[in-house]
Amino acid sequence: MQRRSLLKVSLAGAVALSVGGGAGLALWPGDTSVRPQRPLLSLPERAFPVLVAVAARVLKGTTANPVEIAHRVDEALRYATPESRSDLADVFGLLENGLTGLMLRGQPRPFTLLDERAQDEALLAWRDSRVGLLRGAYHALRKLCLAAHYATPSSWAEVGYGGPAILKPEPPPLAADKPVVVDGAARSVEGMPG
Amino acid sequence: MTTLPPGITEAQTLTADVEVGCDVAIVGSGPGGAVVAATLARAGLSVVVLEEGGAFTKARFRGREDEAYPLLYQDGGQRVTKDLGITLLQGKAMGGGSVVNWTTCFRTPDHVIDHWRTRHAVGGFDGAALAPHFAAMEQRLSIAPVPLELLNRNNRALYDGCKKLGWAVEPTQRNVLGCAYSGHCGHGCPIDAKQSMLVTLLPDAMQAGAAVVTRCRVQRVVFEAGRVTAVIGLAIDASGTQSTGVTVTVKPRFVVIAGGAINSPALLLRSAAPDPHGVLGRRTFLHPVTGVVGVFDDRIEGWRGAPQSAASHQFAQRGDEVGFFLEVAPIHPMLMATAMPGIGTTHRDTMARVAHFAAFLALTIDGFHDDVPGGRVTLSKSGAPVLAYPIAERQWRAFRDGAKALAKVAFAAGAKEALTGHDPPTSMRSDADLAAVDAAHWEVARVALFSAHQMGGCGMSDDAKSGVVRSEDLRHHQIDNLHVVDGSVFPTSLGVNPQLSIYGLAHLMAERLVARWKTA
Ligand SMILES: Cc1cc2nc3c(=O)[nH]c(=O)nc-3n(C[C@H](O)[C@H](O)[C@H](O)COP(=O)(O)OP(=O)(O)OC[C@H]3O[C@@H](n4cnc5c(N)ncnc54)[C@H](O)[C@@H]3O)c2cc1C
Ligand code: SF4
Repeated sequence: MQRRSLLKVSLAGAVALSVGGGAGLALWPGDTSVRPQRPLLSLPERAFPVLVAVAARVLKGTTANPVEIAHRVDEALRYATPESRSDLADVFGLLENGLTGLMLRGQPRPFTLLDERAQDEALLAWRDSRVGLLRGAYHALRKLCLAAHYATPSSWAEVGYGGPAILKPEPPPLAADKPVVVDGAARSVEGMPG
Repeated sequence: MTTLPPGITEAQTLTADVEVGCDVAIVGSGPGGAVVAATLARAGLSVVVLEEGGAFTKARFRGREDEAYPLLYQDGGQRVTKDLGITLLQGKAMGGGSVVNWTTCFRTPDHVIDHWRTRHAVGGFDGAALAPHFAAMEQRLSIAPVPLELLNRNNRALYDGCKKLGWAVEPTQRNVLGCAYSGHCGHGCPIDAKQSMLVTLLPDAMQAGAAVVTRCRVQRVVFEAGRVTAVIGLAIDASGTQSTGVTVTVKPRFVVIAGGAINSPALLLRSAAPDPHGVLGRRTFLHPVTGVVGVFDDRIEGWRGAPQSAASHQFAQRGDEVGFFLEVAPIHPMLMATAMPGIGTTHRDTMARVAHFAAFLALTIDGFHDDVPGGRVTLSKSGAPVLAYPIAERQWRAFRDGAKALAKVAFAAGAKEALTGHDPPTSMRSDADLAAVDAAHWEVARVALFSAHQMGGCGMSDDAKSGVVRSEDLRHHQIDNLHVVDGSVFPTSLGVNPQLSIYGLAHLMAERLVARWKTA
């Protein structure tokens, strides 16, 4: 897409962002065939296929599996504030929304139905948008997917990282922690589970 | 009303509401809270520390980014300014930011303390009053310079580059004892070599009888007739994401808020604390950082070694222009992947070269110019802090100048290429290309910016119209038995990494509080 036409529609894009993207989903049904493989913890189900499609573009050419990345992003979002979780759900709606597609790309197709090149163009249009929040949304999506891949050992060989300098066994799951009252006189918190 | 046993109570294990009495309740167990807790407990006051983060040992510190960020950082490492422009790395654990920080230690520069006195009515202490407290903390935390020969290649590139250019640069001081140079400071030290609050002042405090309640998020403090009468905490589950529904109520004689910048003002806002002059949450500072990556022929492997062990203050004081100082960042795959631009194969190909990267940082010094007043903390609907941080034109100039200085350092140190944090990146091959930095778009969310140094928001000033607390004892101007002792009280940023400034100030103030409260 030409830069000039992008500038023209940026204001409309801002308006669309401010009314929220979720509502438009029904207008332009996208590809919903990609389903979560386990229950989602943070995102609405309709956001999942869009997130998978974004992850596939962001991590193209790596060993990452987009469905698994989408699940990890969903899990990471448990730590975000409720407001950022719902803002992000809106961002997926906006990306999938045919109306914003029309305004930003000149075609009313949901993100999940675009071919790969058009998906890349859609993401890069957000990167180069005059609307700061769209640029911010591009980075939020990008970073969540990248973090989900590069934080895990499966990425290490790709980047020539040999892993932690000090190897330790996997600790028990957090929920398994027993009640702890440590004796203050012991001076050190050594030996406390967790 | 009961009392809590000395040591740690993990609130996620409580099955019924508790109400606890004590002399002093401290909210937050980072540098501010831990130093105050140890000093007060040693003086014989009964102390309860409430901490939202978990109590972890080195068994959970495995140098793994996928484990460390969700467990040990605010919002699982996803905290960001309101316009999504600046990533905010901030700790959340028993020990606060000291558990994950990169161990660089500087005393507060005297010119900063002088600036506070002349411009922010900070008359309660001066550099000479603080000096013995810095010395005491330096001794307790084994703070000492890194030997030059132990700088890793990333830090050494900064050091050598600055030396070649004739710029001031020194190895830094670090709070470590028996450091194995693993590079994992940001993930919690796997061998307890880092002298964080978790392994130093909090054990000191517990030995002296203090109770620490972890996984307990203080929702609000309760005011009655100009005093705090209760502190209300919510127990959080083991994952750190949800309340268990159990309430912890503490009824103390005195309260010290030490949740750190952003969090402390947010707690006071949630509590509807008096703020007659509208200063609460304002003047929040970040040392906003822009980075430049130097690409070297040799492997740099910035993931190993002391993460930060050299610093240059050559450009810290620039008069009318915003100053900046130069350091480096550790290079682990996730931290670097999120900082590097682009998507798809462009990004992948960048990451394939990451072992050859040095990551140079310019930390800009905010709060010293009238048009650089920092950000403002408000609350979201759910009561979470929101930081709006507009970036002034003068700061954009500092980012530009900082990026140019870093590119020069990179080339002086032998880099073949230098990349700014822009998306798409600005690439330079030599000093001849520096004009590209000026030509780049310096605008929010076009260039990666981050902060690991949050300061201010409950600024100290003896003028009640411009500060939240007074400087002589960090007491709240309107509330008699409420103090704030953490990085949020600084009236400007510091121009140096903050932890030692907080240790020293907290140590001085805790001694003054003991003198008052023992007789109260
Ligand atoms: C990745 C990283 C690297 C850093 N590197 C360096 C460095 O090399 N050198 C340096 O000097 N500084 C460094 N810093 C900064 C330094 O760690 C902080 O400035 C310092 O920890 C701030 O201390 P504080 O007491 O103000 O607050 P914090 O350390 O933030 O501690 C506050 C604690 O209070 C808790 N809390 C907040 N609100 C509540 C509530 N309502 N209820 C219960 N608990 C609450 C928080 O969970 C937190 O644990 C770094 C920080 C980070 C994140
Ligand atoms: S570099 Fe030293 S202090 Fe830092 S985590 Fe490794 S051993 Fe601990």
